[in-house]
Amino acid sequence: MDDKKNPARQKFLPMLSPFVDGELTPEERVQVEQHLAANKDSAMQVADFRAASGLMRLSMEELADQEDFSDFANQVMARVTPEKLPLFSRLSLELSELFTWKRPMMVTSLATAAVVALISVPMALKFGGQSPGYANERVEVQTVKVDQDARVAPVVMETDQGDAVIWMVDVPDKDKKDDPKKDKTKDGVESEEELGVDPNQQPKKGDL
Amino acid sequence: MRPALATDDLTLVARVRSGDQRAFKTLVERYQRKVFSVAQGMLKDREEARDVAQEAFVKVYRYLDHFKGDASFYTWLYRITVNICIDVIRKRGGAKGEMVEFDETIAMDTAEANIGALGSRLGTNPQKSALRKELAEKIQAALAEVPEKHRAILLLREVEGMSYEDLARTLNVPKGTVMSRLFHARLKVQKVLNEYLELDEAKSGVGTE
Repeated sequence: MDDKKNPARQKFLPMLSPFVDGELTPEERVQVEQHLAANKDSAMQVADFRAASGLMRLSMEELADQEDFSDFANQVMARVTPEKLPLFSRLSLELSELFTWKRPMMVTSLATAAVVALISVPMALKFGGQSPGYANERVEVQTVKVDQDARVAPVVMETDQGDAVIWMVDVPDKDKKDDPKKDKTKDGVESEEELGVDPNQQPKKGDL
Repeated sequence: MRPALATDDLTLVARVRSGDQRAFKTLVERYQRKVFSVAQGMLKDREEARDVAQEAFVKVYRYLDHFKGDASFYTWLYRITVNICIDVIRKRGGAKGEMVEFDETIAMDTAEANIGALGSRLGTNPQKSALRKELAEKIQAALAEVPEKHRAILLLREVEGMSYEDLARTLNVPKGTVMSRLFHARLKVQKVLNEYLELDEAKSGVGTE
C-alpha cells in the first residue's frame, strides 16, 4: 500500500527506527506494537531494520577481527610520550640512527679510539701500572747497616698498617754535650735522651 | 546502560591528568577496537582508519585538559573520531566531488527500500550465516553511499550502541535530528542491500524463501 494513503503508517513511520533501538517511552512503545499488529508493511519494515542492524554489527566486528591491535596502544603511546619509549625500543632506534644517519661520525670515532688504544696500551705495559714518585713508590727495607765507629740508636716508628720507619740517630758524646752544634743530628732529630730511646734497642725482624 | 568497567573512564582520565601514562594506555586499549570500527565504517579504508584512530587518541591526550567531564569520555572520544573522519572525507571530496546530503524535510519514501525483503531473506535462520557473511561485505559498500553525517550516526548507534541522547551530545545535534538521520541512513542501507540481494538471486535463479 502507498504510504501516503495510509495516515497511520505515516504517523508511525518515524517511530519505527527508535522502536527498534528501544528509544521510545513505554506508552509510545505500546502504540507502535498495536500499529505493527495491524500494519504488515510497518512490521516488515521493523524486521528489515533489525536484520540490517544485526548485519552491520556483524560486518563491523568482522572487520575489526581482521585488524591486529597488538601494537596499536604502544604506537599511540609512542606518539604521545616519545621520550618514554621502552629501553629496547630506544636502543633499537639509536642503533638504527647510528648506522643509517651517523655512519661517518661513528667510523671516525671508532678509528680514533683504535689509534688511542694502539698507542696507550703498549705504553702502559712498558711503564707498568704505577708511575714513579715519592707517594706511589713502595719502599722495602732489606738491611740496616751502621758504621762500626758510629754510636747510633734506632728510632722505630710503626704505622697503623704494621709498617715501620727506622731512623738511625747519632748518639752525641757526653763530652760534646755542651756544644749546641752537636745536640742535633744532621737530619735535625732530637737526641736519644729527649726521645726516650734505649740505645741498645735493636729493630726486630717483624717490625718491618 | 553501559556495563560497569573495572576502573571507570573518568577515574582513568583523572590519573592521566596527574601524569599516569599507563592509565591512558588502558583507555586506548579499551576503545581502540570500536574507534577503529567507526573510522573503518566512515572511511572504508583500513590504513586510513588505523591512522585516524591513532590520531583520535593522540588528540584526546593532547586536549585532555579541555575535557570537562560533564559528558562521558567515550562520547568525547567518538566526537573527535567522527570529526577527523569527516575532515578526511572532505579532503578526499576535492577529487571525488561532494556527497549530496539527504533532505530531511522531505517525507520519508520507503517504496524504494523494498520493504520486508531483507528481513525475509535473513530472518534468524542460522543456516543463512553464509549469506550474512557475504552481505556483511556489502555493508561497507552500502555505507559508502550514505552521507557522512548520517553514516556517523548509524555507525555510532550500531557499533557502539549509543543512546539517542549520547548521539545528540556526541554529534552536537538535536535528538530529533538523530532520529531522522538514523531513519534515512537505515533506509538507504536497506535499499542498497536489497539491490544486491535481487541481483544475486537473479544471477543464481533462486527466489526468496
